[in-house]
Amino acid sequence: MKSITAKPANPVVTRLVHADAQAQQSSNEDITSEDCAKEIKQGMIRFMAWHISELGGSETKPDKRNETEIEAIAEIIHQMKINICLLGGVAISAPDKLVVTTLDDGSVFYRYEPTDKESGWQEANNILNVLKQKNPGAHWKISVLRDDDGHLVGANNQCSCFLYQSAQGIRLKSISLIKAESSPELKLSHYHYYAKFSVPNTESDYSFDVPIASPLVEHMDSNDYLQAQITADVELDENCIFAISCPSEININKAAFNRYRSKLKITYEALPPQGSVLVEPIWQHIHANTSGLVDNPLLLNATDVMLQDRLANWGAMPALMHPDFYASVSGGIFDSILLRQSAQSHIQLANTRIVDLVRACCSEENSANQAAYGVVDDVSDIEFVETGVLVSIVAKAEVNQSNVIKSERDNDIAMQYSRSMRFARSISIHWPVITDICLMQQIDE
Amino acid sequence: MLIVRQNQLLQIQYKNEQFRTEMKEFLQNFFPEQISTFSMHELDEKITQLFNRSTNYGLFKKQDYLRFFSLCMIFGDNWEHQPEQTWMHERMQQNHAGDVSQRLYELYQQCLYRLEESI
Repeated sequence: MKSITAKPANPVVTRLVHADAQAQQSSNEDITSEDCAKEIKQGMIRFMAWHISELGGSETKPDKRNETEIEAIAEIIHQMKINICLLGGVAISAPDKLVVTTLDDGSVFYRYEPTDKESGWQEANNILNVLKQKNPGAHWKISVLRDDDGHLVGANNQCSCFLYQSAQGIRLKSISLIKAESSPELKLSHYHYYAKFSVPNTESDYSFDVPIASPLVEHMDSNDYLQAQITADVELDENCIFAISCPSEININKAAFNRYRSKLKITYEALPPQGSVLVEPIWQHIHANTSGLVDNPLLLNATDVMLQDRLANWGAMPALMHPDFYASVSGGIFDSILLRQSAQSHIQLANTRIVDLVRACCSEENSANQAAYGVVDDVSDIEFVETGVLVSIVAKAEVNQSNVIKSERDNDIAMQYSRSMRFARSISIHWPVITDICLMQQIDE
Repeated sequence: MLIVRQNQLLQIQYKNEQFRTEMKEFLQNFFPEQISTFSMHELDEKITQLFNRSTNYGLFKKQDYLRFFSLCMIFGDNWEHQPEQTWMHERMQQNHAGDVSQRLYELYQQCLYRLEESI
């Protein structure tokens, strides 16, 4: 996906970034002394941050996803060879249930009852179970932050949990809530989940600390509760990975994003050309952000078509734009993995990118035929290993759907892309971000 | 009495030459426009001048020299005397904000953020 609002890169910035990459490669030694220290690469683990929107239910999603969607999520994590995965957007409780009561006199009462069950946590455990089946040797584990009463800690009825492979010796040392910088413009709060992993060095007894922070979405009602959950003695490490998922588009408010990165001393990195969320049409965006707009003109008077027509204000609406080609589909950057780094850091990030869920749902032959369909790839140097990994699951999901009408256009590439996009949306609106975490150790010779 | 043997002097000279060659290659690779008008002798002098300036800040690592040279190429040799760039000089002088390598690293990142927003 292309980013619609990506500004052209400043050539001076690009030059300085390249020069700094060269500087980082050069040894970190005092030039007046002989080679006394050498930095060697010790290992690499792959990290994924995935805000699975509405996992565990919402007004528009059921609290229990169907098996194919859970399997698809697990398959992506499995196929991308992820060692640690941060699952965001996990619902703390399922949405209120509508209860209908009919009295003896025939009158009917409707009421909403709150639900206590941890629907999102149960769904995350379902993903864990599928992962365990797919790779029993990996010894997948899951962890989440709970308060003293055993309740899940989060804001806006959402929390995050960590999945990780323990077979390679990866261990979750601690998970806590800390207070760091916020970004009101990006709706990122002061409060951050903070997980510290221990990753063993394959060649010695030494193990690396890999801290991962993830800011919660700003939600004023939860502030007092979250303040009480802060672990006082835990502070942000000098070298730490940040996984962020914003409710608004990052590249629309780049200045705010840069301020946030600068305050947290996050290493500069140009925004990627790919988006992590398909951009919604302009009128959906205006409606979601403007109070007082009539959602559905039919509500004014279902029988008065003329009235609906007058009040719908058609004149202001631009003509509908449907992209003809996959390359024309616009994506916005909502999610990112960043690195807070000191001058002497043992952590480096490489190959950070979005996992393309539409490609994952398309067969490899179709991907090869993309040129015929008009796909001009702007990130062509990336090897999309996810291509086709969900094809069998998409087919299984369609067999289960009785309302899918078969037509002779089924083999049309446009039709297959459309189906892929629909399935990708059903899994999650946000697409996952992955990165390779390179761990280095400075050893004396 | 400290005795410096001839071999040691040769070794230091060799290291110095090696360092200069690396710096020249670095500047030619990343900032060719800025040094295009320099003769080899002038470039040599420039490197000496930049090296002296960087040691005034207390820099002593190869990584730091490369970062410092890059900033000088973009913001000019004497950025501490330019009114728009005094904040850079002040940032480098803040002893409480970590060691000098860390300060330079953070200054470099700050420059990237500011330059990106300036377009």
